Parts: sequence; C-alpha cells; structure tokens
Amino acid sequence: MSTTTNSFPISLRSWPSSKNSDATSLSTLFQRINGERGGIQGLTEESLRQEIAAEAETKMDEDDTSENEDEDEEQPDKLRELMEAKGEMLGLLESAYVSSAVTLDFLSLLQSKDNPVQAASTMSQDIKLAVPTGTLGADKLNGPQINRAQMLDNKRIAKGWKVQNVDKTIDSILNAATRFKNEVESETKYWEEVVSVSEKGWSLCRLPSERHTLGVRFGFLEASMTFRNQSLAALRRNADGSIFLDQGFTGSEPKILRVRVQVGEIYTGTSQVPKATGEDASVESLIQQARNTIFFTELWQELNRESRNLGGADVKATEDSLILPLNSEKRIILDLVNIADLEAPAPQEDDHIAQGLCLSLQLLLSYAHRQNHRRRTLPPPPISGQKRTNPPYNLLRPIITRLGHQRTVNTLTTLLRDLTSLLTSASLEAKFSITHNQPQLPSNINLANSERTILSLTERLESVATFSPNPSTTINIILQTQQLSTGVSQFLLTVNPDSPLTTIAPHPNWMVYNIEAITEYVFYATTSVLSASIAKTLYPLEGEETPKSSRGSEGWHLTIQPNVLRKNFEGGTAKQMIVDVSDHPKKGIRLRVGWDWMRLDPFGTSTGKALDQERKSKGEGVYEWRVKRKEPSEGGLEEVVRSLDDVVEQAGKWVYV
Amino acid sequence: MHELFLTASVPNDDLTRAVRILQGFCGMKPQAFLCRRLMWEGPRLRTGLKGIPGDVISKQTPAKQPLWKTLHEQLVRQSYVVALVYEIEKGAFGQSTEQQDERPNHSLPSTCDQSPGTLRWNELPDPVDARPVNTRAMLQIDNERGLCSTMKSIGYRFTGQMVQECYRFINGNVIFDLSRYLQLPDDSQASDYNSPLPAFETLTPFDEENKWILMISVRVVNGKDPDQAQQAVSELMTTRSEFEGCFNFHMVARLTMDTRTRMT
Repeated sequence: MSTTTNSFPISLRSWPSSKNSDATSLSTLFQRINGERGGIQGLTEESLRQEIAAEAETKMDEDDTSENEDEDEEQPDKLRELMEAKGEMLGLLESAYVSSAVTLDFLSLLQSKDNPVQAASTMSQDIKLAVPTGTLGADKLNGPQINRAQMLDNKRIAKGWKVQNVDKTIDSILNAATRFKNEVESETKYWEEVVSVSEKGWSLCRLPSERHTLGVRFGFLEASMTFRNQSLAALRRNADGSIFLDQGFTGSEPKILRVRVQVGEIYTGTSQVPKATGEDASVESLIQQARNTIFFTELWQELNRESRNLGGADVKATEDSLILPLNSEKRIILDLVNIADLEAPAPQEDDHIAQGLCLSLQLLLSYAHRQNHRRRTLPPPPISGQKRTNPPYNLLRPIITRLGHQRTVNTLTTLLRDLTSLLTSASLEAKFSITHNQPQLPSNINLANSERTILSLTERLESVATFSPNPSTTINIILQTQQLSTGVSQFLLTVNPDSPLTTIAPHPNWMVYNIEAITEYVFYATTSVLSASIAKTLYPLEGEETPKSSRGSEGWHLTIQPNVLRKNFEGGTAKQMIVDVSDHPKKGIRLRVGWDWMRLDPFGTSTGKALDQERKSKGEGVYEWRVKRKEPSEGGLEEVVRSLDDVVEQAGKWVYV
Repeated sequence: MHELFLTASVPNDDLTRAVRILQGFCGMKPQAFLCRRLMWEGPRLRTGLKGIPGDVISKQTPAKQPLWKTLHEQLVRQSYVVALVYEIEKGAFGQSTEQQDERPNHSLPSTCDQSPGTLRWNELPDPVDARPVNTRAMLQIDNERGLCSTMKSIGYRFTGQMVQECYRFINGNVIFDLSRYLQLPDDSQASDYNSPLPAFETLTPFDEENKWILMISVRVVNGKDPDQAQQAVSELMTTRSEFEGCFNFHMVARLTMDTRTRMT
C-alpha cells in the first residue's frame, strides 16, 4: 500500500518473537534495570527490601492522604472522570459512526451494480473517487437450505421463547400484585395511625417543604418566631407501615426545666422529672414529648431574657443556670436538663416548693402566650416610624412579687403578734388582725377565669393589718405589692382620728417603702400610747404639785418626749418614768419601764444586787416584760408577771429618803 | 391618620369558605359583630362652614380633644357625611311576629346618646398615583357617649341608618373586614335613630346580589411619610399575592367612596 506508508510513522521494532518472550532472560532484565535505575551499581538485596518497604509505606501514606484529601481531590477527580468519560464516549461515537459509514458505503457499492441511481445517492464522495461504481457484485450461491425438520425446530424454538416470556410476564404481574397488596396494607396501617393521632387533638397539615408529606404541629402558635418555625414534625412511614416522627435536624433530646431548692451547698428539694419515652413508644407520646421539650426550651429562653432585667431583684445568671433567693437561707436554682441524663431523685423535704415553682412558671408562660394572643387579635396601632419593642415576658417577676409580699406579711404578722402578746402579758388590752383583700382587676376587658386567677395571684396584692395597743387607738397599715416594683411593698399608715397619737406622735401620711420604718413607727406609737394612758394630763399647770400621800398612779404628766413621764411632788422633788418598747435581735421584743428620782448626779457607785437594793430603798427601779422569739420552756419557778398599772403604782410612790 | 386599603367581593354562598380560609390564614377565630351606622350630613354650604365650635370641643374628654380639633379643621373647609357606629348585640333587634308570643320583649335599648359609640370620618380617597392601593385620610374617635347630641349641636342632620354585619380578622398590621350592609325595611322607623331596631330577619341587603365585601386595610400615622406608606403598601401587596386565585383584591374608583356632602 504505497499511499499509506507516507502518512503514518511506522515502528521499526520487530514484533517480540516467542524466543525472546521469556521476561526473565538476562538481556531483557539488564535492559529494564538500566532503563529504570540507570545501572546496577550499589544494588543489594537489603537495599532492595528497604526500598520495597519504603514504597509500601508511602503508598499507604498516599492512601491516607488521598483519603484526607479525598474531598479536595474529589472535585478534580470527578472533573477528570467526566472528561475521561466524555472522551471515551466521543471515541465510541466516532467509531460507531465510522463503522456505520463504512457499512453504508460497502452496501451502496454492492447496490451500485443493480441500482446505480439510488446507490449513487447514498455513496459518500470518498468512495466514489476511490472505487468506480459497479465494481462489486454479489450472487446467491445456494438456495435456502432450510428443510422441514429445521422449520419445525424453528417453530418449537419460537414457541419456547413465547412460553418463557409469558411466564416471565406472569411472574412480574404476580410480583406486582403482592407488592401492591403489601403497599396497601402498610398504607392502611399508616393512615390508621395518622387518624388516631388526629383524633387525639393534634393538628395535621401538609409540610410546606414537601407537599406530599403530612406533618403534625406540636408547638404553640403564640410562641416567638423561632419556636414557631421549629414546631412542625413530619409523619413518615416505615417499611412495614408503622409511623415515625421525623423532627429533622431541629429535633433534639427531650428536655425539662428543673427547679431545685438549695440551702448552703445541699439541695433540699427538686422538681419532678418524668421518664423519657423509649424509642418504640407510641407516636402520641413522642409528639407529647416533643411538645414538652419545645415548651421547656422556650420557657428557658424567656426566663433568661427576663433575668437580664432582674438584677436588682437579686436574680443571678450563670452559664447554665439561674439563681434567685427564696428567703434568707434558701435559694432557688433553675436549669434546663436533658431527661435522658437524669435519674429520679430521692424525695426530699422541699420537693413541694420546687414542684410548685416549676408548675407556676409553666402556668405563667401559658398566660404570657394568652397575652400574646390578645395582643395580636386586637386591631394593631397604626404604623408609625417607631419600632415596636418586644418586652420580655413576666415569668419570674410575679413569683418574686408574691414571695416579697408574703415575706413582708410574715414579718408584719410576727411583729404585731409578739407585741400583742407582750402587751397582754402586762395586762393591757391589745389586739391585732391581718386580712388579705381581693385585688381590683380592670373590668373593661373580658378576661377568662383562668386569666383572672393568675392576675389576682400576682398583681396588686394587698393586705390590711390593724393593731390596737390600747382601746383608744387603732393603727391601720395597708400593705400593697405590685409587679412593677418586683416585690418591694409599699405601706400606708392611718390612725383613728380620736387617738392621742394624732397629737403626740403623728404618723407619716406618705407612702413608706420599707418594713423597718413601719416597725420603728409601731414601737414608737405603742410607747406613746402607753405613756398617754398613764399620764392624765399633758403638761402640768404652773406650780401644781402632787401630795406625797396620793396614789402612785396619779400625778404623772407627759413631757416633750412622749415616752418620758414626770411627777412633781410637794417639796420640790420630782420623779421621772421612762417607757420603752424595743426589739433586741436575740432577746426578742421587750417593754421596759424604769423610774427614778430626778437629780443632777448620776447613780451611786454600787452595782449588781447592791444596786437593786439601793434602788428599792430609794424608791427607784426597773421592770421588764419580754417576748422571746424562740421560747424554750424554762424550768423553775417563774415570777408572777405584773401588770402595768401595778408597776406604775409602785413607781409613783413617795419614798422617804 | 391614613388608611391604605384594597377590596374584594365575596358572594354570599362562599361566605363560610371565605371565613374558614381567613381563619386559617390569620390563626384566630373571627370577631363577629353587628353595628348600627348612623349617617349624619353636614350643612349644604360651600363657604362659611363653622366646623365644631370651641365650647363643644372643650366639653369632650381632655385626652381626645386633639382628635376633635383635627376633625374641626377638616369640617371647617368642607362639609362631609360622618358616620356614627354603635356596636349592637343580636338581642337588640326586635322580635319577629311569630316569636313575639313565645318570649317577652327585651327591654328597650338605651338611646343612642347613652350607649358608647364611635365617630368615623373618612376623606375622599386620594387620586390614583404610583401606589397600587387606595389611600384615604380618616379619623376615628372611640368610646364616646352623647355623639348624636354633639352632631346636632354642630349643625349636622341625620340622613339614614343601616346595619353592618362584619367578621374581622387581624394578621400582623393588616386588618381583614368581611362585611355586609343591610338596610332597615322602608318605614318611618328608619328615620328615627332612637327607635328600637326591627327583627333581624326583616333587614334587606344593601346590594341586590347580596355580596360581602372583604376589605384589607393598614393604618399609618402619617400618610405623607414615604417610609410608613411604603411599609403599608408592601404589607398589602404581600397579602394580595398570597390570596391570588382565591380573592381578587383590587382598587376601587375613588368617587364610589365620596363622603362629601352633595350640593344640590
């Protein structure tokens, strides 16, 4: 072929002959070693083994790194693969084209003898130039050799094919039928479960992302936006038809809010923690658990948001918990825990406090949701340039308010009760009472009973205390606590107008904001009232003197200080009496009456029992009534407690010195 | 205050379906209420309008006096038809003749002066401009008593009344009002606004086809402020596109809502 030799390069090497095909013959080995290494110098068995080992290591490293870099190289690999595949495909296509073109040319050349016109239209230009038409011919050599036996054979073969294919068809139809039956069964099961979920009250809807899948809405419509978006879970079908809840990647472990009461370092109470539902529990319980989890997660978030504003109320936030004081000894710790991580704790004494707080926080979140609903279903204010803020919910605030109010009420009750028993022990008629008023709720809004209940428990709490140290005087204390002031109560004092207090010790007629001021005023008022009951007149008339023979209780008059009384005797001497009601932190409230002669020099130098004797002989003395805070019963004889009148009588006697 | 709105019409047969759709969209139960609308027309003068005299304004509650002053500024330059809207219970309607024998009559409703009502003044909608929604200035004074006497004292005449049946839904800033207007049967009672209402069954719809009108509206404090108006427009447009295929919200010709007194 002279035309072809000019166009291709021809390899000058001969085909490898069978004699030289032994790959381990020395000459070929030398050829190869020289080609790879450039020589056999320095080649030993050891070095070769080392090389093999090193190669194996690098190959493994390469594999490792290639795995690590897989992701990086994946893209270029894919690209290369794509390019390779494309090249391959193009190559195959081209060869297919070439073979079909060649076939076409051959057949048309064949045809060109009998049908030159048609053949000429299908022949390509190249072959027309290379080979003149009509140069190829074909002839039948032999007639068809198919005899009767072969025909029958063919028929049998055909039947066999048909039967085989019909069998195949039947099999596939049967398969389809069984599959269909299974599908129907599992679908029925799925729909039964879906209906049961729906009947329990859960609302079902289409998933907005996959419109052919049903989802259940387990969240709360009034929660904030982030939680509303997470509150949809798909109900998907398992292979056997049972249903499973798919929360996607927002699903998380079941959580609950835990409330603990802590005294010092020990936990004395914990709120209840339910058991986690197992994997194979019913769908309803899984949905319920999901709902509880999203509720508690939202509660935790809102508590944290609110606690940022409550620093003034002693609420502290650490990395994963909130701490607020319950009373002087106990603290409340709040945190969000996974149910799966906890075990049921042993019952402790303050469990009921912790559980109660946990429940009230949940109720307050539901109330906040209700307020959200109210706010969004009322006509909104017109759009103005101002942005609408999103204030935090009131969750801890009502609890702190209520605790503060109760604390104040307790303090006030203890004070008044102790005072009353003190005065009663001195044979005085004293009484007190405390009532709690129904708070006034705004009447123009229609509130459901549940909302009213929550409002009345947490807002505008009011209590009224009345205290009468004496039948002549009644002191009214109105105690109000509001949520806005988070537990700081305000007090309003009033006294009945015909009491001597209005002239001697008028009460503050403005709002008082601390209990200590109230306590101080109550003591002051009590002493003033007692003095006023002893003294018959306010100030003495000029020159009035009490005869020495008069009774001890006569002749006392008040001085500038309401708790100091003075009695002028004939002859120029005067006695003074001091009444004092005060509170000692350890010893309790006490009422103390002291009397002595008015003189310039101080008491004499004797002390102790001698002092007592000296006092008695001179007609001076001290008497105390006391109420202890915690009263241990003392053994031994108790002195008979005297009445105030007796003491005054003794104080006022003239003792000749 | 300005109100930007679009309306659509809903045939009576589609009412329950429309209510259900809106209920699902807004996530709330419909607030259904009935109102009695009294129309008061101003004096037929072009000039020399007195508006609201100062002593009338000073008699109102101090918190609402700025609103009255704004109203006075509007009524001084043009005479309008003002609506007084009173919310009524279903039981305030009279009994039909069959029921009268079975149940005793409800006690007579208090006069319009005694019940709290709302004064609603609407301006003619602004001419069509770049905005794809209707805009009109409006004023609403809520929870006032004695409105009828106030209107009489400023020279306004009572011209008619009708009953509005309304379902209200709220979604964000958009208020959905699905309402139908009914007129009282033609008798002398219609001209006395203090008379008790006839039975509910005797009321006839205002338009022949008994259509309900669904109006979506957003209120802005200052309609001239482009930012506020733009926000309102975008909210309305979003709502409109959400309901495409369901309700056909469109603008109305401004003259159909003309509230100016006709000078004839």
